[in-house]
Amino acid sequence: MFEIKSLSYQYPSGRTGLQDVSLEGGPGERIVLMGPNGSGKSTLLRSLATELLYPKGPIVIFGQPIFRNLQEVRRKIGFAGDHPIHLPSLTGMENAQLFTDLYGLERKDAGPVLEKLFAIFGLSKVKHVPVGSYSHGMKKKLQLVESLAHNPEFIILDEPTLGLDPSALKAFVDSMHHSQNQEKCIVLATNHPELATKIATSVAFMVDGEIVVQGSPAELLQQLDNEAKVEIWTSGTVDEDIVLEGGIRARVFPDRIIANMPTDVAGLPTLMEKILDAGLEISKVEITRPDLADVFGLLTGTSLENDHLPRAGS
Amino acid sequence: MKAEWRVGLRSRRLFFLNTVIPLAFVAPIILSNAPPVHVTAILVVLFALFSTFGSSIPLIRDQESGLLQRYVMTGLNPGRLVLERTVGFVAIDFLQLIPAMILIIFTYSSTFGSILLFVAAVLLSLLAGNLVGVLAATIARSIAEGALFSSGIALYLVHLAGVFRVASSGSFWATLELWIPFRPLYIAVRGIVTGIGPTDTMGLMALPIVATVGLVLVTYLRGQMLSISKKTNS
Repeated sequence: MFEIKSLSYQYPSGRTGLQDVSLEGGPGERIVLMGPNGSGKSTLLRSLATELLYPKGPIVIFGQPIFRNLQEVRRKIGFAGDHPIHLPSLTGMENAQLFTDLYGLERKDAGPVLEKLFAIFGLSKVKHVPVGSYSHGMKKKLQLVESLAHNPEFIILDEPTLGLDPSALKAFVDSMHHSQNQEKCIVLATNHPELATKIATSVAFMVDGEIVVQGSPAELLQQLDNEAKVEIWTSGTVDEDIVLEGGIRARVFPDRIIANMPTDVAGLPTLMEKILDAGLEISKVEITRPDLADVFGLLTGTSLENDHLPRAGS
Repeated sequence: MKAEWRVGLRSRRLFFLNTVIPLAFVAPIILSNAPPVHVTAILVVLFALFSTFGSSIPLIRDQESGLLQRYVMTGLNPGRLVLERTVGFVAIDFLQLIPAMILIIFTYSSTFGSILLFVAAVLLSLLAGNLVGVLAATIARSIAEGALFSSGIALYLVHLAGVFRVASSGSFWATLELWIPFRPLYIAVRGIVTGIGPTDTMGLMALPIVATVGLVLVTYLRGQMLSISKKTNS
């Protein structure tokens, strides 16, 4: 489906966008890019979407260099950038129809597809409302509709779920798993660890314009000790740490007790029993399992929330 | 382009203003006792500016917002896209100028032939002016620059069309004058205002039409530049 080798890109301002990036994807693959702001996720997506002109390094999509048949390649790509842009005076449906027209779809074919996508993303009630009055989340959803309506083979999405409500997020995850999208190649950028775990076949961590680690969510999560963090809020405290079978030590703090244990948290009932036996009341229990954000921090030494300042080009 | 129509007609306030303002400029001028030469010059300048602003500002706005690039990302040829949009701009501009044109035609008791020439000349000027506006949009970095470039180029073309001076017969400027797309508008308006029309209408239109076709080709090629988003390629 696509292949890039040693791709680099420098913005006219001198900022390095990408540095020696290699990536490939085929039908049925869902590649998720994760990285802090300025790490090159959007630049890579825009390069793949053929939006950035003249990056250094070959980009092959559908078996041929992109600039050999640019317009044909673009027709097979569904791209949604990070900023939803529309004609505000037109309604949601009119905006979507404009894009299906531009992609060359007949109105009679596009109509049912758009109706279905508007329903999936919860936009049916506002489809005849001017987009100028849409919220940011609604505009993001409309952009997704516009990007998917022409049934593209290669889907590229930049932060598609940013600003989406939970129901729309679920609709998005469902749509990515939908049978219609099973044979497509999807590349998307998100820093939502749960979303990445749910939909990715492969996750690439990016820092400073480079892909530093790539693997399946399961492979990446194995990099961490397979432990869950259990926090139990208590009414008081005990004098000493609580030790469970298998050497699990629960550390005691003034308002809570914290223990690291295997992710099946089999030791939790025993721990709670010991706390109650000590005469304390339990007000809240929280179990935190490691996610891809933790793996990112471990493997890259930085956080997904860090903003990386633009780096001057060489 | 359908979107141009929809946006143009949906923005009723802007459409109304764009219809009323030319009328508000034209009415006091043609109803005054100003000399015909001044009336002609002012009308030609007004129509020329109206045509260039109509395309440059929306194009720069869409380029800045990234909307134009979204259109191009659908696989549409950028050159074809700007030409299609230009046709939309011309059609909307023409609709908005109709009341002002009717006022001019009825004020001066025009003949059928002069009306036909006037309408054809306005259409040619709108097309050429909008193409100039698109070209201005390809070099402008902001809406203000676009307005400045398009008005500057339009005024200079009006000058080259012979509106403000008479070129020496046989000189380079007199030859160039025959190619300027705003010249038929100048001659047509002058014909309506003074009652003295051109003797060779086909000859008047031929070279400016050729020049406008050349502008279409240049615009098609320069239109490729508009596919690069100015907002995000930083």
